[in-house]
Amino acid sequence: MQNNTQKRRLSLYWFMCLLVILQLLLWPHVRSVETRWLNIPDAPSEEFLMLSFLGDREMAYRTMGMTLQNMGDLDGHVTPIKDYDFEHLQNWFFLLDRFNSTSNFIPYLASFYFGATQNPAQLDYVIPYLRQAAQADAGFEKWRWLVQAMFLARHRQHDMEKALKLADELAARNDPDAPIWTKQMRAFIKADMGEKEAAYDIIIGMLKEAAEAHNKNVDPAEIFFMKDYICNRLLDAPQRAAHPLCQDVPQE
Amino acid sequence: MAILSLPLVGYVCKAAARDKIFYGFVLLLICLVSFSTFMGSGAVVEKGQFVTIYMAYSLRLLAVMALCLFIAFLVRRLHDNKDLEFLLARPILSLQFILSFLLSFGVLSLLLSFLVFVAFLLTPVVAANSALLIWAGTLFFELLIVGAAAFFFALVLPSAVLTIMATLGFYLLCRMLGALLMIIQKHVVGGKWGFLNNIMEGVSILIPRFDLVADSGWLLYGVQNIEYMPWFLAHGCLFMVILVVASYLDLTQKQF
Repeated sequence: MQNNTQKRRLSLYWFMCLLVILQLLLWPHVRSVETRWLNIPDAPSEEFLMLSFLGDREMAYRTMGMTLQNMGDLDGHVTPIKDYDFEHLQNWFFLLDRFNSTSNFIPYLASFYFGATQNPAQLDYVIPYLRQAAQADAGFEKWRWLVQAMFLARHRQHDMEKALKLADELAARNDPDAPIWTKQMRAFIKADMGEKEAAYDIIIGMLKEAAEAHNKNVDPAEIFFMKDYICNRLLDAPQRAAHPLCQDVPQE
Repeated sequence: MAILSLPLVGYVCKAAARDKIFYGFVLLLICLVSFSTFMGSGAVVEKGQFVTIYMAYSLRLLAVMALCLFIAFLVRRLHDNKDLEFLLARPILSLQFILSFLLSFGVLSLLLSFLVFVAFLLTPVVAANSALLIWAGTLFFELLIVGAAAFFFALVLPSAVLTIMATLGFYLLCRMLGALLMIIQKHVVGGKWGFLNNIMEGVSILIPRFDLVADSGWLLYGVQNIEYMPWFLAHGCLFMVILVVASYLDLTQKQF
């Protein structure tokens, strides 16, 4: 009886050894398989995301925001941003904006992280989102995202028409907390486009506006900067010499 | 005869102390706060906001789980040890028994939500303001309803596992009800499945909407949609009364 039990135990040990050997045979086939990144999945519906986080919209926003931040960096591999699916990414931006338009996390990721893509054409997916992010409550300095969109259009895409459209939008906002350069941007872009007269009109208009308000709302340094910009950047030498505004402005 | 039995309240509170629910809760609370801090610190900006939201979400779930598990196993133990028969053999009314138990669960809910409140006060991520107080207050109310539901399920269902599953299912439904109603409003489900909309509408008449209270976003941006609060509180109170009546009916029909 005891002999039989011992035999059974021994055969079980052998069986276990056999299983371990089988594991060893299977191992080379599994070892080389790596977790593959299949690019950014498309954004789900608002309801689906809400259900996934038990109706907690803020948790959904934060968790999916963090997921977007870390996407592509998987299993020791780092994916270049140009390889991301920006169409899907844009859907995520707009979806998460519906969950929280007050936070600056997703606009920050969109402009400073995904905005650094090696392929400037992909910024066409980022800029419309930044425009929308800027429309949120003005109390949170959202105009900055419009500036960022303008920067991407002007300096990364070299699309001056688009940058000018965004600059017009920025100037029209009249945010009380926005600095005066947000209104000067139109002139800078016009000057870059070679339309110096138009740029001159904008800056001189701003100077007149400031003078009518007895320079109350404008810093003296800003007044000086605008005069300097007109005299040293927009006007040529003969125009400068004849312009009364430039008499007390040192030449560059 | 008084409507409450204070010895019974003391009995449940002692059972909670015997089960070391508070030690376990505090230990897990520390773990979750640490985990939330670790996770939130990974964000490129708004780290404090991330930590706050992870804390709010995880601590709320922890409190619900702790209360649900305690009630399920307490009532099962009462059944198995014949304590329930003993308690009901005393000159005590079924209603008195139910209300005393609910009061004790209320005390536990208050303690749990207070511990969560203190956890937020001790971490530097959230300012001690009225939003935090309202958030913790509504968490307490949420726990009160979950406690009443868990007690009802524990009385009605024959095992602790079933009680826990039913209570967590109920909690998930309460939390997801807002999203489900949104689906109904957008007519996503139609055709031959359209009748499901009516069923969900029917469910929403009874079930309180937890997505309207203890909103994690309040901790960051202040309390919003406060105008719904009195309606939610009234709805929740009515639902608890329904649970009390249902528990009473079940208890009086049982043959001990």
